[in-house]
Amino acid sequence: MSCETIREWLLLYPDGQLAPEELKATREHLELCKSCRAALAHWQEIKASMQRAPVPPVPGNLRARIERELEPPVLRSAGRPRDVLRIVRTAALLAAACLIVAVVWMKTQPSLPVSVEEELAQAPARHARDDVSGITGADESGREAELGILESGDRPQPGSLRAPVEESTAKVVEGEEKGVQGDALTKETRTEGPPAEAAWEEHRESKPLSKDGGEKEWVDESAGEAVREELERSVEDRKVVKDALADPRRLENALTWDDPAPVSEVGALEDVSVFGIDARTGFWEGQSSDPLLVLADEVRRKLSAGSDLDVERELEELGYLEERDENALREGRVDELERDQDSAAIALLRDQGVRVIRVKARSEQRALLEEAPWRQLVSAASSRGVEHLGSSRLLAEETGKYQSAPSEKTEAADGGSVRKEAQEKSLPAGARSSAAPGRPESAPPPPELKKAHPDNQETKSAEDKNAATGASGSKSAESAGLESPPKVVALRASPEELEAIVRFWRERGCLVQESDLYAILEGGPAVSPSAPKDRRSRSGDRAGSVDEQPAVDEIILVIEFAPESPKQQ
Amino acid sequence: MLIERHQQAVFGLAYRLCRGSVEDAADLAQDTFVRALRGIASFRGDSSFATWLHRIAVNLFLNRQESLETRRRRTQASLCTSGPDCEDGAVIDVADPAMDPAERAANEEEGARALKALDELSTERRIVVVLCDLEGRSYEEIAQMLGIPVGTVRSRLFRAREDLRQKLGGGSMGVDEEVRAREGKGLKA
Repeated sequence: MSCETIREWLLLYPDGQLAPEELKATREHLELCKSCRAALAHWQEIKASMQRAPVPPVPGNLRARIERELEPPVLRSAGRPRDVLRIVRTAALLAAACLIVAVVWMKTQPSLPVSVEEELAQAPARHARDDVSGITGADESGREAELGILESGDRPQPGSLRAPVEESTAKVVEGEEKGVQGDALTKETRTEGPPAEAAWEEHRESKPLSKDGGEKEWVDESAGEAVREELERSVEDRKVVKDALADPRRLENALTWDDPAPVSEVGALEDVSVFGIDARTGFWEGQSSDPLLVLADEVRRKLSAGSDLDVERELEELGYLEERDENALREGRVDELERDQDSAAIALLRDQGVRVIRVKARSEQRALLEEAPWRQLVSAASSRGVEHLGSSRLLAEETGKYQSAPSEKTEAADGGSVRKEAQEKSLPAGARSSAAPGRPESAPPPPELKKAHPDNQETKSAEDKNAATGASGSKSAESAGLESPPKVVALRASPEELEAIVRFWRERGCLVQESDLYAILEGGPAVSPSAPKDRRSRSGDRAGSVDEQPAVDEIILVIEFAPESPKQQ
Repeated sequence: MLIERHQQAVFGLAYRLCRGSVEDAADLAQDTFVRALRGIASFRGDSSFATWLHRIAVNLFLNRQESLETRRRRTQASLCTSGPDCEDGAVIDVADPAMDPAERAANEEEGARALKALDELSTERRIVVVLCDLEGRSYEEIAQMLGIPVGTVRSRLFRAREDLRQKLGGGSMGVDEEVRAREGKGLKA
């Protein structure tokens, strides 16, 4: 074979990717042809010298640049002194304005008894705190009951003291719609309001309904209106505020960031209400743009600067900070402020060496749980004798709702003992004890446990089949006796199972924390340094793959649902 | 962790793709990570994470090569008017301090010549050499990254290597032998 014929093969020969016949012909030719051997050697020298050519070290600021680029715009802009000032000023104004408005407003309500006044003053704060703490959204009717708004039946009694408040709120809402000035309207409603019963009905009608048909959360609309006015007057960048005020929903832009990223691009999104204003929080790599934390930061800054202004007291009066948070604040441990109990439960699970994968989805994606393979995961894990599958506080809470009606049937089929046994095994001790502070620890296990019992072979095989196809549909939910799916689920599974499940969620647009996924894909999930030794030793063969930390062979999946995101709708 | 683990490899690839411009390489590496982290949901795990990152880097590079080229030419033009390094552009000292100075100098010179020749290749040929010879990617991986058939990768690679050999002093391959063979046949006849 001539040199010309093997010319191409010769230069590709070192890659070892020639076809067998090409390889053979090239070898044979090289044995005979000195010139081609020289040409090949020459090429290999060139290649070696290219490989030896040094690459400069990675610029020291590359990581910082990437992180900065990944931050939500508000955090990016927060790095600029002018914007920091603007945020701080806005936050301080909000706090001051709300205080003033609350005091003035309460003084103009002479007929209200002290207890109701206190209730109203604290309501927005508690409302906001509830929102912040409830990644998955707490039970709304429960919250209203806590606020005292809906106690003694679903509505205030005619002529009760609460009714005029609702009435004036309703009028303000109506006034906003008609474009009437707030002050004039307030005067009008206070003097010429309809009877309380009618006001309540009117109020109910004027309030938008939440997705599940219940009444939307209580919001102090009049305080919100005053804050809006205050903002409009005082904030430096009037245009931003005015634009935002054109659509109250957009006011969050003034409070958080100008261009909220889609949910897939930030760590999490939660809607909170501050001073009756809806705002969105974003979390990215441990940082937060939570308006409450912005306020807290402002407080800390003022305290450390020795400011005369007792902002802490003011915030306390506003009910924004609980005692423990105040302590953390004083000690400058703002990062440690707990936002919800689920986080604490998850942290405990992590401390025990359990992998936690968080899947975040917007509430409109909640229906996905109907077809999610987590039920199949439970079933599959149970049938292999995997230790039972836990649940967080909210799962227990949700389960509590279901235990009455539909569970009787399945309980009879599976035997009542299964529930108890499964419940006892449910969570690791730390998580179990932390799962529901202030709630009975004997919360019933999720109904799916009954379904997942190994004795129930027929169901199991059907579910396994569904798992393979990646969708079970709402049928399984119905058969499990669930009226609606739980908001937070914690399950134990092998990394392989988890990977399949994570893929399932991702394909449906949910967010899975990439650091966790990365760990899975690399085969070396990160484990907390405080993980138990026995768990480490079991997985020692994979140790060192990620940060030299050992892997675990069981993973917990936590599915969380953020509250509804108006931007995304 | 993700960034730390892969930044050297991604930056190295970017540096070679960007013809030795640290600034462009840093930009490309940054955008690669940003794109990857934002779009990590689309990572299906079909390939390794590193391969996926490299693919993003290559795609980003291809998308912006025109602007990069323009910038590079401008930079070179401005450097050429200002200093003795006119021909080679900016010189970056990335020497390994542990190496013998003479050996280091020789290596640097050889490497610089080779890379200069590489930089002179067309983008499509240069990319395959970078990916195959410097990054160690297989033909299939390169074909996947560039969205071209494996056969095209092979032919581009061959032409690129041949170009490099000729630029770096290798004669036209195989001609002498062929001539000799023909002559031998003729003599025998």
